[in-house]
Amino acid sequence: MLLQVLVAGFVILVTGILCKIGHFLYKRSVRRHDVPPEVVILYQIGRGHHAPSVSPFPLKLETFLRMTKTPYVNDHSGKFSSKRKTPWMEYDGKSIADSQFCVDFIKKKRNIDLNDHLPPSQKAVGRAFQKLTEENLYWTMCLEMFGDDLTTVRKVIPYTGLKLWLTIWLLRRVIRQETWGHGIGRHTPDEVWSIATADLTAISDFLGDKDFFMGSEPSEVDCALFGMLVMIVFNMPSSRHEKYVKENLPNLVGYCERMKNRFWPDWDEHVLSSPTYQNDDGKVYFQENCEADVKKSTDHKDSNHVY
Amino acid sequence: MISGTLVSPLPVFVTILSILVLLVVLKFRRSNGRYPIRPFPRDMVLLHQCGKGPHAPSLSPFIMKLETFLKVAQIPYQIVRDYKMGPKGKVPWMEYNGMVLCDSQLCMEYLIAELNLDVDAHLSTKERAVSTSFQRMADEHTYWLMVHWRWAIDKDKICFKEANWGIMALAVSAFLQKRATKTQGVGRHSKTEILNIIRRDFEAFSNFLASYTFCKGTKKYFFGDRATCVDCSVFSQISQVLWHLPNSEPQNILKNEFPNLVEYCHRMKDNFWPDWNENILISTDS
Repeated sequence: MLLQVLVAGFVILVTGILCKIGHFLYKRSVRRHDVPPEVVILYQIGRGHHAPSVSPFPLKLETFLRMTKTPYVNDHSGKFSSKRKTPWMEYDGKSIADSQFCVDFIKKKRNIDLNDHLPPSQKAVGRAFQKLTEENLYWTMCLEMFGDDLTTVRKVIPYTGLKLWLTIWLLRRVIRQETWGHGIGRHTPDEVWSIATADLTAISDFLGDKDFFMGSEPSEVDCALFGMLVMIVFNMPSSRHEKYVKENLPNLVGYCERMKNRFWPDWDEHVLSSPTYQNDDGKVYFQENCEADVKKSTDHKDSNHVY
Repeated sequence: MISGTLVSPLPVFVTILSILVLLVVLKFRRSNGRYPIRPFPRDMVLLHQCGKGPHAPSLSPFIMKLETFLKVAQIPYQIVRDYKMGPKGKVPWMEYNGMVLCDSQLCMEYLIAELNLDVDAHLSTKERAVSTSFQRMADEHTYWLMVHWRWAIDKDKICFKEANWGIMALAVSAFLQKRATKTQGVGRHSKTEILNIIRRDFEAFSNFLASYTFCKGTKKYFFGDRATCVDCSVFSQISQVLWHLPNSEPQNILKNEFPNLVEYCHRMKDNFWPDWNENILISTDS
């Protein structure tokens, strides 16, 4: 009798878990169908407590869309791409994964080049700094956030209870595996920190007192740099990265503020801790550009207006 | 039926258990702290590395990077081909006056500080920043594209066979490297995507090398007519494509679209590797 009860209980539990997983997967598989043509559907995780994203890559991509005034709509449901990465996007039914591939796709589709005012050598330097930021500095930040002290990451990830614990546990495992394979995870904390400070100092030294990274006008590398530096300035409170930047590299803080004011005047509406926060899931940005001639090159240099 | 269900999973179970035991043994061997303690020669770098490459001094760009740096900075060194991984499970690693150091970049930074070297001393603050950015791009991005190509896309692996790698070594390395590139990110891209990204990296190196933005006078190397640390990184990464990916699409892109990078590699080889032919397995004129 007891055995039968236990078996029945086990079957009910497993069935319940499978139904939950099935519902979760179904929700994630549902595609939006109510978006006008030539509007990007930007799939990203939800907003953060202190910045529009807790990850640099969605912020990079969304800043690029704003910089180029590309019509887009956000989907914060957390669906992952076919490459099991986020962010990713859909454009007229075509899926594109990886933030940089998304940028390249939009550039080609809308005939936009944010670097057209730069000579080839400066474009090369921009690319090199983008790779420094995304392929090296980024990992030092992950190790700082998901190292032995999880106080900072608990303040930043907008979940609570079991969901927060599971998210941190999963991300920590993934980051340990990824950084070990990358190589940086094999270094001591002091060695990782020396790599981080070398990267941040290089970015600061090259930026100098310029308004934007390559000069007086923004270019493509600014999207990547802004996405990453926002994590340090806003999303890593009390971390070594934040203290180092704020105490030693004030030009990076000023740079973040300039980019934020220029391309995110509605910043507070996209920050969970702000009293003016609004859920923008499904809201179309730059709708007036939907019917514009997308073959014509968009002038990203004019005005302080984002939209 | 009962005996069938008892017998059939056994070979699978034994295979999985063997692989797990092998991985544990390898991990233990890597993290074993017993490194050669010997009377060491004073003020001489002992550079621990693996075997020679078939057409370039090593199949590892980081071994080439560190050894090129030792030559550029004219630091006395001795090669130790003991095929042992360093304390962090990687090669190259080095000993210097009793100090054990791993990671090519950390080794270079240690030697620059310890020996007060002036390899990059003439660079301005901005130039050093740009140098750091290109070094990171070469070692943290271009490297992974090359690794993914050689282990996941190139089925022939000619250079590894020319270097006498056995079937087991090739199989285990391919498994580990494919897993590494997938977790790093480049391993999730298609072949066409990889080629486009490689082309853009080469274009960046080529355009900067060809420009005089940060240089007055001749431009033999990245920052003028003196080789600096970034040249060691860029040369070592591109050399793997030039010499160890024969008849491949990345090599064709390099040779056909960026001839200045090919000339640059030959310049580095001629100026800093006069003993090139003594350090490769198959001597050729290229």
